Amino acid sequence: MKVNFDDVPARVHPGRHHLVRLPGVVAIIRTDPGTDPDAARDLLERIQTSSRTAPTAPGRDLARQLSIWLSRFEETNGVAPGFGAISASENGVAIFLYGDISVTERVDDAELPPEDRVSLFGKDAAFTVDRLLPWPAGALQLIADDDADGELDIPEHAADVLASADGPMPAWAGFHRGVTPGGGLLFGPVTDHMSEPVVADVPAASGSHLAGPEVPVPSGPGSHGPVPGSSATLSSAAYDAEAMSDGEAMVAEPGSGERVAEDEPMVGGDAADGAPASAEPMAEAAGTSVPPPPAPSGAQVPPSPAGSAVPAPPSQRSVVPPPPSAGTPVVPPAPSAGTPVVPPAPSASPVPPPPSGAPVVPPPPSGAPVVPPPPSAGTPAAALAPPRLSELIQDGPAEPPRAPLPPAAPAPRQTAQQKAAEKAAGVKERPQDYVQGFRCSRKHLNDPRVSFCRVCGIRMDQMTGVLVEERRPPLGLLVLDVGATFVLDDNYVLGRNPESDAAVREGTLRPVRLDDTSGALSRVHAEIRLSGWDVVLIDRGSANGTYVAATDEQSWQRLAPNQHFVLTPGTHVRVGQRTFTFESSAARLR
Amino acid sequence: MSGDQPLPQSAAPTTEPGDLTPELIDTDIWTDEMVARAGIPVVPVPFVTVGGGIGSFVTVDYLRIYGVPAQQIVVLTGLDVPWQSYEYLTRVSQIPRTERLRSDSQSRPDNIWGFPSYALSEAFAAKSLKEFLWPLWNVFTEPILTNYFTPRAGQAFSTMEKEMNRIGYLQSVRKGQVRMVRRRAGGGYYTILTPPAGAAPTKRIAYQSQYVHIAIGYPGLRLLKDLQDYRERYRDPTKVVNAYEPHEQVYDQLRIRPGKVIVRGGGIVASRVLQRLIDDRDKYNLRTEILQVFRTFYTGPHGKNVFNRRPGGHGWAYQGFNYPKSVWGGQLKEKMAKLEGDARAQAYEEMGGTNTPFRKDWLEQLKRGRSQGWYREMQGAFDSLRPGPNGAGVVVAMSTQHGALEEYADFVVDCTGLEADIRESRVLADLLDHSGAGRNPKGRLDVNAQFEVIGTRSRPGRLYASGSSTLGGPFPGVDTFLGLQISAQEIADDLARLGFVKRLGPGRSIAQWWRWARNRPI
Amino acid sequence: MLPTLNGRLQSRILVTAILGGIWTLIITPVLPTGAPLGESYKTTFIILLTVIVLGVLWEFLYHFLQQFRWEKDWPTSWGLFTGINEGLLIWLLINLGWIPGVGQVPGWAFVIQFCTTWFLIWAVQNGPLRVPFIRWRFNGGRFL
Repeated sequence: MKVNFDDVPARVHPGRHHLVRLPGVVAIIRTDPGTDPDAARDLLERIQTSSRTAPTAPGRDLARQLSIWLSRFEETNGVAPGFGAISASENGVAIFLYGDISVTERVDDAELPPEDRVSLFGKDAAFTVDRLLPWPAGALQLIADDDADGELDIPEHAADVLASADGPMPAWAGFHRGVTPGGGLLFGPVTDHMSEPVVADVPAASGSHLAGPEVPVPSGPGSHGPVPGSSATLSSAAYDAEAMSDGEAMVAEPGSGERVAEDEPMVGGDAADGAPASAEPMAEAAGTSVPPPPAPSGAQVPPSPAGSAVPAPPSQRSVVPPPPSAGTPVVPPAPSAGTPVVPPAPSASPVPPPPSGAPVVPPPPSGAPVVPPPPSAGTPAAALAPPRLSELIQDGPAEPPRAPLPPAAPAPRQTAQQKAAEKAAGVKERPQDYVQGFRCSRKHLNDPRVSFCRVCGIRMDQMTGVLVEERRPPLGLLVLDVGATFVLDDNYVLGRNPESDAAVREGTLRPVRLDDTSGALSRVHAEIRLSGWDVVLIDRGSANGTYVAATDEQSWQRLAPNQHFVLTPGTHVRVGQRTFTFESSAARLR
Repeated sequence: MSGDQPLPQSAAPTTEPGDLTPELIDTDIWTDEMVARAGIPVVPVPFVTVGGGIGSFVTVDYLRIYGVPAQQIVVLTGLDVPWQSYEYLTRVSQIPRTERLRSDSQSRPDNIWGFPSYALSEAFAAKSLKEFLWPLWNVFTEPILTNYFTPRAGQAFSTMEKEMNRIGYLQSVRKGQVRMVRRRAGGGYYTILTPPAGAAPTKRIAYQSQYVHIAIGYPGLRLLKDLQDYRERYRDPTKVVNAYEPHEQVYDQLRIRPGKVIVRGGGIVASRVLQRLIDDRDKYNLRTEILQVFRTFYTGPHGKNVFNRRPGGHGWAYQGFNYPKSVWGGQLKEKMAKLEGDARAQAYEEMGGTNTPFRKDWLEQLKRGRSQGWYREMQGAFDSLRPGPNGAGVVVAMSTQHGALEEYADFVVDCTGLEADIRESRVLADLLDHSGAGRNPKGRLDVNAQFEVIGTRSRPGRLYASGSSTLGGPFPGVDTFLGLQISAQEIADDLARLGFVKRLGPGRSIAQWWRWARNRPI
Repeated sequence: MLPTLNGRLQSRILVTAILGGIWTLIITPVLPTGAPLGESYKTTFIILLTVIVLGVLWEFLYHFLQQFRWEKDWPTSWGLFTGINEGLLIWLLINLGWIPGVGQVPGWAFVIQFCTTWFLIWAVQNGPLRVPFIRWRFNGGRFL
């Protein structure tokens, strides 16, 4: 299978050695006292040359270059610094190690028993370690071995890392290209998502904080090492998992993890660039460099099993087949940090794409159910991993990361034909999606009452406004008490069982299920409607009432049933035991 | 209907009576007949001020104290009260009424004399001995033993309100949007106001005046390109915010679960946002992590020579107020008044750079954050922003001296923002195009030492401008409270020289101060 | 008030002369000088004149020192504390007999005159002086 080496994330850990990343190569060069400084420069040049000559697969060439260089060096000069390189080869990776450098594969015990993991040590070799390997399942840790026995002191949980206030912050930064100081890096894991995994690596990665060479976190511009990243992602993921396990069944679809936000309802034809329900084949851990072709229909079919392309090393190293849920639109609650997204019904695309709120109804699986690819021919059948349910991060296996959806481009305007097509396809026109507003001097549509443009910040209240009518952009967001946020770009109904509302069935309202064990929440409790540029809260005759309070007030005010209440930014709303706050960035001076 | 076409009931292509005609729009200097032909009603008044913010308020305050009757002044504005925009901006950038502004104790927009200072007023309004002594001690020892004393935002606004009522400011206010100011053949100016729809029988009203003063403030922010691109591309209003807009949801969410925030910028707003983040962190026991990204990273005191050293450290540059103090009447003011052209632009550069006041308690917070590891700072410039994996958070790609790095964060708070060009304001663009105004070395409206807009004289009238749209002129501190007062004083003295009002000498000044002290209307 | 050199000098000379003069007129009769009134007035006014003359020189020094500060300013309290060095110098000169027309001056008389005058000038300059003279503080302390 084809993996784009340069898209695999690399995370840097603090240290004093040199880390290099160039197209097709990641490398570490030790800086020890007593080694020749010119050597490091030579090495770097070799690596650069290889990378330049064959950026897609410099592996073999690099190994050759480095061997030649090393032999010559040892003959003439003496002590070469330890170094190691992981580079792309035709079918996987090439690993070249010399000296006190090691490459180990970090992966879950459940996925791969220790004896089958990649584990190479430069100091075990008479001369160099030089291997070609297929893409591993887990992440490769390329580090300089500074401990006597090569064992790293790895804290159990990321929380411990945070708690150790005197150590440097763990580095979670994505190292893209360049040379930077560091002690080692974590390369991968290779999946088909392009950006740094947030949640998935948590259990594996939680341990990858290197205890040493201890580098105090410097603070001057010149001495900044690799930028330590955030370990808050771990805890936030943990909280999310908890939130999920509360039963607040916000279902996130794999692959729809990335919000498609305020996309206007898209006509089928337009879906090409912004299809929310793009197929998200969580294929074998190998990634593909091309985002999977969007499937407007929401059918999610993994690509044909790439089993043929997988060089199959010992059977148990075959990559874990994707969770069967990977293809289905339904997935048990996923620890996406905060904005689970579900397309309501991935039927024909005219249905508006998933807002970044989370309507809760798991849409009926449409399209082909996922079939885990059969194990590659010739290997004994790999055991199928059971479907992954999301569990608390501390205890359970990680949810594999999902590829983000392609970003939503602003919707092109509908032509008359498109409108006719939409109508013919049975899309109910929602005239209330259009509002009258003023354009700022850069043509962004705004509420006529605001003083500064919401996109570019330019002042709006000193120009004579000319009313135009366009599709309404999202009007702010709701922040739930557990931290999830819904961007308000559609009308919602909230309750314990909002799907039972007739309007939901018709498709004019989106349901949001809130879980509330106190019983104070009605099945259909309240509605949030967008009316012009205002956000209106309506109590639907709930048994226990809907309460609102302005930001500073301490007292709750109960709404009369079916009374339209316009929400102002900062207002808190309480339904049953759940509260949420309405926030908006509209620049209203009054 | 949809699309670009404006709705038929607005901006009709054919002009009705009472609206601007193409003849008026195209002609630089208007005659009374042209205006009459267009059917626009004309209101004669000697002095018109455009803007209605703090700049207009301070100028009207001066004129009223100098002795101009209220009927001779008209304020054309869309604001309800002069501090409305200012309060909005300070509130969203985390300076609510209880927090202190970055302004000197003696810069009182409601008091042209600067005596008693805010510190004295605060001391005498104190309810306990400690509250009485502290402000006095503060101004006695600033800035050596204590930080500079600055007033609370609430004190500034409430005193302005009191003065506004005392001088009867609201009687002079006419609501609407000013479309343009043009010279009148025969002297003076026409100012075209568009009243709110339905408030007047015609679409426009023309105010004919001898003197016009323009103080319309900032033409708004221009958010940096990467932020705008992110917004337009990903339509996500929740994770990447600018500190000059309401962004409470960031703090709301951080209260609920731990997150990492990247703060970009090194100015006062960045320091206020940090203070809010850290105050919340302490108060609610959160585990917020903060990464601060500076484009220019100051590691220590910096400056061109030993006489021009500004303190700094850890990325920040410290300066008590928006400008070095001597611009408000000291050496820098004198120096700048003599410079022209490039030399002046250069002098502004040396004084400039984003900076923030040195505040001990806030710096303690940062120090604590550094040692505990949840606050980091680095130098870098953003290349691009994109949503994080699974839609969670944001990934920021930035260039630093170590190469291209990426950072993941739950929120990005951008505390930078460029100010838009003056042409973004239609009134100023019109002045540049039709009324002979020009640009100064910093690109804004060119004014002279009396704050008259150079090139727009229509004898015997004068067109004045003050405030941030004149930044770059011979007086460096225009967009501050005291700067507005200095401008207003220059304008009032110029009008006194022209005979519009009597110059305020020592005797009358004492009498007027005494009236102010007793809160007697003028 | 952020002073320029010109402004400092003007302020020092004019305020000390006028305000100081008035105050000296008032206070001299009550000073414990032990000398007849005419003598006392002569002494106190000469001391006042000395303050002005030496003060001009001191101002040059203060101006130079302030150049090292970014804000080019001076804490308000220091305006008061510089009275100490100026007073000490004048006391020294009196005792050395270098001030023409001034003989032996009783310690307390000098202290009272100097301190009260200094404090008064400092308080007025940092406070009410800006009420009659509204342009003074924006001109770096210049009256003219």
